[in-house]
Amino acid sequence: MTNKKDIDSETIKQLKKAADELHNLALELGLSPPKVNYWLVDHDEINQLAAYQGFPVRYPHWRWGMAYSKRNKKDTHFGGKIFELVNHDTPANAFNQVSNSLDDHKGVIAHVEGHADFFENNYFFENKPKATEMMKNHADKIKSYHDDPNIDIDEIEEWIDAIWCIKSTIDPLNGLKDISNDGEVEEQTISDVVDSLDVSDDIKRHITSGMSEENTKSQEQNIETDVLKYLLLHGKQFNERTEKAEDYEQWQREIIEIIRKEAYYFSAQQMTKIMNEGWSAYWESVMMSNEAYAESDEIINYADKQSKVLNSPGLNPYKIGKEMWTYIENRMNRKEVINKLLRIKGITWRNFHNKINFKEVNEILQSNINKSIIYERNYSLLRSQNKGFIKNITKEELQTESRYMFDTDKYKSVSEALEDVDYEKGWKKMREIRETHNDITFIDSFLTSEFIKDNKYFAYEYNNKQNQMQVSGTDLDSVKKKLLLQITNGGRPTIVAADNNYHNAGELLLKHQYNGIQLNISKAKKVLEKVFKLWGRPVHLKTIRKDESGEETGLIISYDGTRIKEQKVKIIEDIKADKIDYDTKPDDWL
Amino acid sequence: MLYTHMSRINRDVRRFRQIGEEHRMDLKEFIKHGKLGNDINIPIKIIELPEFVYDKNQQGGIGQGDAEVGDPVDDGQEGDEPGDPGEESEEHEYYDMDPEEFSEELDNELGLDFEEKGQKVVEVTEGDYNDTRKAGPNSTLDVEHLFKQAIKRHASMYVDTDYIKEMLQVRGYGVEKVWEWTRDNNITISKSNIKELSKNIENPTKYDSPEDIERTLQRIPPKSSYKNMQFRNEDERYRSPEVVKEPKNNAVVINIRDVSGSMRENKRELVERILTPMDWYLQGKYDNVDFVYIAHDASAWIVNRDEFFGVKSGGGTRISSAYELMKEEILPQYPWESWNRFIFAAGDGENMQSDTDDKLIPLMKEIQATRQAYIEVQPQDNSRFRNAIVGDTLEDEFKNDDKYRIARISDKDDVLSAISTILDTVNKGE
Repeated sequence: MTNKKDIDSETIKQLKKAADELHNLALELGLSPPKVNYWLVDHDEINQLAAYQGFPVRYPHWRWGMAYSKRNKKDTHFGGKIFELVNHDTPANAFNQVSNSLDDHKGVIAHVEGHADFFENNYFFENKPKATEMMKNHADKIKSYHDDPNIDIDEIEEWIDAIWCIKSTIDPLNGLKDISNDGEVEEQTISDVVDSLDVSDDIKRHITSGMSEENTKSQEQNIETDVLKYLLLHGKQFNERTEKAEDYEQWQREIIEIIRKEAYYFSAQQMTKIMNEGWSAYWESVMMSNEAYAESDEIINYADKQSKVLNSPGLNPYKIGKEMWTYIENRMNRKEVINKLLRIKGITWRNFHNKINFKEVNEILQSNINKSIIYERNYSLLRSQNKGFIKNITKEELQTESRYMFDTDKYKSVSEALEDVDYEKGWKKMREIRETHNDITFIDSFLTSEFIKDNKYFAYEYNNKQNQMQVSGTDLDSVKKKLLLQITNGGRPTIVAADNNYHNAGELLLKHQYNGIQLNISKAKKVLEKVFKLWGRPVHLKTIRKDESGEETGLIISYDGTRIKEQKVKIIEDIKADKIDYDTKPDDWL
Repeated sequence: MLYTHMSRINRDVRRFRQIGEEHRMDLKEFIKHGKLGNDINIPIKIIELPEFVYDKNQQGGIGQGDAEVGDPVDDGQEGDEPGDPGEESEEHEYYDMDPEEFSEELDNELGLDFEEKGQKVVEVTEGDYNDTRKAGPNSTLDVEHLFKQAIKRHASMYVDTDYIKEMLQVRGYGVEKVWEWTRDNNITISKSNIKELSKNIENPTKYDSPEDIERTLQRIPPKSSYKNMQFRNEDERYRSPEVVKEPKNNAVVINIRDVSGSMRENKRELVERILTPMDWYLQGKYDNVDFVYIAHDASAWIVNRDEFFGVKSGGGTRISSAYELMKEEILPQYPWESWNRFIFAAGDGENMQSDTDDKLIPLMKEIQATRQAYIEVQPQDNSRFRNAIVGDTLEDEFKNDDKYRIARISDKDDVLSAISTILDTVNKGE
């Protein structure tokens, strides 16, 4: 906790105490957050930090200034106060707004401890990053270009703008690779990780960046998911005076490198937004409500509102994340109980619901609890809203559970079976899951019909006939598709580089890996104009247009520096996924 | 400390303003077509950063709540324009311009030569709290004044129904005649109330004349019950400190608008497009500017800015009513010695000729002001029903006096020249 002159020492003392106590509480709960640096900042500072995406320093660009002005305006007009910001660094830094009440501060600290634990333990986060230092170095570098009289500031900013338009066309799952190792993926890390997860084949195909069919084809076509890397290898600038493509200036190359590096840094957070926000929210509520550290309603409400603003409309990563973790906890605890109950002599998945007295089960589970053990007194299945959860298990799930079960006559009675229940099972499993998953695999593995029904999720689509958005399904498949569409690649379509010598003239061919959903074509054209700036020669995008009746037409959009052209193409198999289609419209809507 | 380098963001903000200034909407376009409000927020055009995104309609999404397939979903966004699939409106940023910059820019754009001549004035800052104003901190509220006013009003509203009942028993005094008597005596009671009272009278010929009543019943002076006394904001006076000398450049801008039935929506908008930029402009020219808004039909009343541009009324038109109200209620607060006064009236040119000749023109002559303008919003089709002649009359009357300006406007393209006509110092009329 840093000191500021205008804060009285008593407040500082209280906050230090809260930070220490909550950190210890987190450890007791089984989390392993490294120490966090907490900073008290004032209103202007937190708005600056928000504009700079959680860092005190970023490279110079007017867009940060715009974000800051917007932020301040929002503050004045809509009271959109930021309570806290946290960044992933060594150690992590959390910024609390000085004007928070003590209760707000405590809620914020509890929340931050959850993030710190997640950063530390989730596979996709860089280990021991030097993030602030990196941002500072990048800032110094670009600042030096600003100060260079030979480089025009407008040109620098426009160059940055152009790169920003495609900064998400990287390959976060494979991570930042040195550009000298072009083409070859020397490490198997991602496949290893994905294989170790219990996920469906479709998903495996999708998360290993693009689809497997694509990858086979890509051998000869040299498909590159990391378009920024592709630029570094093959890109040129367009010299408007000579009207020729020329090699990048040093500063142009370095700026692409800088933005690419930062994009990879931020991609971990983007890939795990639902898990990470949900994780922090979940543990915050355990610490604040269950362990009664303080009333946290306010901060939960706030964060809920805040993320609605950030992600409107529809998907609220904070909310769905917390619901998912809560569900996983129950599910894993239930699995443990079922696992014991199915080993009672005479109990099978067929007669389970008839023979088991669920009231008795709850009573025994309750009476076995040792209140001095933190995971026992927090045992989820005994919370009043979860009392019916064991009973609600489906026959199918029971059958699956009992399939490979040995030792089925192990216990003579319910009470004997329940003696062996591991009350920590839910939390243990949650900790495992937070280590290896990202949002896509998380949703694929743990989104179930039961969850969707309990939490009333539905999918919606635009109905052209009715000219409005309408519910398209309340089933697992529909909801999962629409959800995955929103979280895969940050909710953006996947665009890859396919050819650096298109038309045999050094032109660039990008391909949209089509998954049943068309691009916003007018926006795509504008992006192409920016890409031209970064390629220096004509650029092309192959995509598919889908009309209101569902008819799909291949399309190549081109920009040659002066004009946009559209051309229909017949062959679309190379960009169309065979098995993935995120369109959930009922047939009779067409 | 590392985390408090506000200078960095300030540099980015300065650069943003610079970019915004270069790329903001042209000021003339903005005045003609932009969204005008209290603040000067001029759209900046460039700023979109396009990205590869899905077609909004095909993307769909997920939601939460009780739902069945086919239920309509409000996804929180306005739908695309029909026939324009996938095309989204461009996002805008806004360039906040302060009034000083605005007036400077407008001077450049319109080639205005506006001399902020006039009173370098002395302003109230400290001293005893003897002066009063209509607004101020709560602690300076003049409670005594507030009560006095409330009592006065209450008294005037209190009606001695017993006495009226007796009146109805005077030979030959029916409802109609009693009502006339109440009007003559400034007693506020409706005819239907009198009718109601007349139902319960016992002897319609109890008195021969009103004077006879006095013998049996003392007329109650209107003051007996103060139970439901009402306090009104308009009676609030705040004590403010007395004048201490300090040079300052003050202006009051009095905007007057005809809100009668003939002033339709498009005319209303044209008025707003002239008056609002002039408000901003004068804010930029003077240290301290007060705004007063007066709406009128056949009578006039004071409104706030939002009401001013929103209010509609069905009544007829008597422009002089606004000038009377201004003279009585507003101008005394802004003494000519210490305030520049700008009086801008807008209407469709319709007024009773007698009102224009006998009342309006004398008032306009009598009232001292830095500048007075009449903005005549004329029908677009030079129409059959053109009885809009206020502008003509005033122009004849004031053509040799530079303090008076007449501007005519029939569509958005006239807005800028109208503003020039009113504000410019030299090119009067021609």
